[in-house]
Amino acid sequence: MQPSTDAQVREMVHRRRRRRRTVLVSLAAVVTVLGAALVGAGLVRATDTEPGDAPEEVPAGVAADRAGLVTSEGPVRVDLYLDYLCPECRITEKALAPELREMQERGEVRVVHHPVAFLDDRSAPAGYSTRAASAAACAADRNKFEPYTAALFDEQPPEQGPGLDTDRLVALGRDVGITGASFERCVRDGTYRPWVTYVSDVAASRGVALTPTVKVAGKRVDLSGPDRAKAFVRAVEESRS
Amino acid sequence: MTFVRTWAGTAARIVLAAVLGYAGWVKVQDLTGAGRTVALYQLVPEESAQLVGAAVAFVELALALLLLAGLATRAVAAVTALLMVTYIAAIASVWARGMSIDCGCFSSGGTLTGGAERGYVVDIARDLAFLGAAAFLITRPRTRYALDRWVLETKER
Repeated sequence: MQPSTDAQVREMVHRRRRRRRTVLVSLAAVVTVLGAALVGAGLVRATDTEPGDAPEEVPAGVAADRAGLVTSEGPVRVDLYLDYLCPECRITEKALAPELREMQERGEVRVVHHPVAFLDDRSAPAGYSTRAASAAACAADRNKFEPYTAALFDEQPPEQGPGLDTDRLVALGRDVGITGASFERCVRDGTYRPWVTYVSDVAASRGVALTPTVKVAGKRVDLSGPDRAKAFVRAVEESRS
Repeated sequence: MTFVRTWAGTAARIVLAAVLGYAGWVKVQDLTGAGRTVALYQLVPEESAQLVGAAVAFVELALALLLLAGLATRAVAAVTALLMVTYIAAIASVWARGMSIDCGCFSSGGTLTGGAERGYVVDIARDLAFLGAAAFLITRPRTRYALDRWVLETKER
């Protein structure tokens, strides 16, 4: 139907203008939202590729890149990313430890531990992951990182709680055979806290967002199956052949 | 009736803006945590989880600001609805795969030892309510105190 009066023509023109304006504004809004997504992603790109410099104080046995602790040498590289507060990490550590020890004794694996603190906000007060990991680094100075780690997981506190207190962290060291006052001082001073933060940042920048993460020869091992130890052993055997 | 709807739409717009603004703000404070939360869902490769997490945080903030201003309400509500559908699908998929996580909707998420199912029901119900609010705005985008009034409804003078 053709518009017949001036008023109708004006109304039509008005509507058309309005529609065009709506489309433009809507497009602008959608572009803004997409732009926000890009800003977010760009921000992560910019900050994540630079974990900062390694701190001055690093524990004995630190890897060349200072972002892990080497506890054995061998042809196959095994990276363990564990957080002392994470329940799944406890299960994984318990499942893999026997196999891992045998491989280490046979000189098959270069084991690099990354004691990360991803779950600092899951204890109250926050920060148990960092406290525990830096105590473990103190144990590394006495060459007791692995037994101390096992002890920490044996006594893993529940999430949202206060975690083990400093006295308990010191006592655990004595339990695994650490003597002398320097360990206690190291735990109480939190000497390796900056190092733990560094290890966590480097892990995050390498795309490790979750714990537990186990890598064999740089490849992630799928730990979701029923038998973690078997999956791990298979991964090591595959990378050797 | 129109009067009631306009006010209901205004309320829907403000509520959505507040919810998204709060959720986005929490995530922006801790982008690493937001990335970790995305990784927990195991829907994107862990390497890209950081990027997705940060993108989601800023998208939520942008949507909140646009909703608060009432600019391009219909388009923004459509994007919000899309986001809610994505969230619901993500939570449902986690549930279906038998995983136990905290959705990380307003915090950084984590792995739970118990009570995850109840959480999923609450999270999905809440997101459905927000989806409803967004859908309402798609059908009735004209609300009070919205910039759309000034930008779109110019009369010839």
